[in-house]
Amino acid sequence: MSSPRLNPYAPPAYNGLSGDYPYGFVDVDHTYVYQVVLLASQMLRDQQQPIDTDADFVLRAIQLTSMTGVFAVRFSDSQGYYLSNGMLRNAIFLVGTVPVPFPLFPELVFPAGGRVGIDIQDLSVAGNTVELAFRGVKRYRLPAGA
Amino acid sequence: MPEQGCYDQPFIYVFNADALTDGIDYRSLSIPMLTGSDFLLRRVCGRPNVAQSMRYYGADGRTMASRLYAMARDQVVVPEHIYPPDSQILIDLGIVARGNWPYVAIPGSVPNYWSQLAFQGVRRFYGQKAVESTYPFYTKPYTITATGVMTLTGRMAPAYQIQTDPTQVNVQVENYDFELHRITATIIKNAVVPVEVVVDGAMKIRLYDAWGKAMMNEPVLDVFITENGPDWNSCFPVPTMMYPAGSEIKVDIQSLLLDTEVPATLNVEFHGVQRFPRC
Repeated sequence: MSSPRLNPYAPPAYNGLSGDYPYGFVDVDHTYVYQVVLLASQMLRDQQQPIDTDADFVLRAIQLTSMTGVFAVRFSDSQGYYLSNGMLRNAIFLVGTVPVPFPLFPELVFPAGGRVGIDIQDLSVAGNTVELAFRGVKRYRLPAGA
Repeated sequence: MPEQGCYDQPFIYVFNADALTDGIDYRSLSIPMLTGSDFLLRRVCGRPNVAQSMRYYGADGRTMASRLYAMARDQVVVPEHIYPPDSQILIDLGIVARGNWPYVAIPGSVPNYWSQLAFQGVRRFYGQKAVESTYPFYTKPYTITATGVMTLTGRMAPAYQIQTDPTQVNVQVENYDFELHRITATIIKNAVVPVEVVVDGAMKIRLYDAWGKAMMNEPVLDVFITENGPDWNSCFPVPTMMYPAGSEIKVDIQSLLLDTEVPATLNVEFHGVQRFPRC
């Protein structure tokens, strides 16, 4: 047997984050994946990533997981609130050339059955396949009395 | 942190993709949980070593992602996800592409595969108590070093088809109780101009606690636990692990070296603190 102690060198999540959710709910790590194929210089408005109907989704970070060229993007919540006044270049999702999670603070809650709105435009002047991951948690409502 | 009346052991469940076929999709691959403890998942890494895309499932069989995707090479799980002892981690893989080192000049040989996924977290044992130092103490940083010569290749000569067995290495903990925080490793491979480099797919490692209990279900790729490995956000063990004075840090080492790389000199450092008796 051994001594359980926090490891000061490890990222907080490796030491265990148990979640901070409201009474009567439980959070489960979840990722919604949005994939799109853009033609050269194509602009697609009002695209969406649907949210499942079984639970609210709490969005905490956006991650660029793959692309074949540069692009720009803008997001909105289920009420049509845009998260930026203009299009964001894909490079903001990178540190150097490495994709890292782009944090959203405070977290955004999308109701079950809602949508993440997306405007996206190819800037590579060639075909572009883009994959974005919306990282967060599904917030399940516990049955009464649970 | 663990609740009262239980203790957490750092643990990694490894999924080896060696036996899969490149270019194929797989569904519902399984890692069964060991009995006797819950497993709390906190980190998933290794996807680029195994496939173009993946996703995995929770203990209740619900998927943790809406579809297969090019999951980050290192991903945290927040909040931590609990797998009971009778459950399993299910995995879907899209277009398998196993990372490997081939024996280029030897026809009919089988490559050394380093195509692994690692699911890092803790095993939570209920009704058991962690053993602590038996004396009041204060701590000072300390590193235990170990050096050895690796003569084995990943597969047995001359055909290089059958995997070699792991070699067990024991490192003595002397004088005072030692609390292990992190591991680093470097290697000098046989070469025309030998150069010391950080390990990056040179071996798989299985680490044991002071009581001989393994902290991985199978040997895990070096870069998934060594802190100085390139491209990964590795730290192990989490939580830290206490080795009493007089005990041994036991390690199984499975070589992934090629015929052109042996013999190689391996340097491993176990970083942590010594617990000095307090008067």
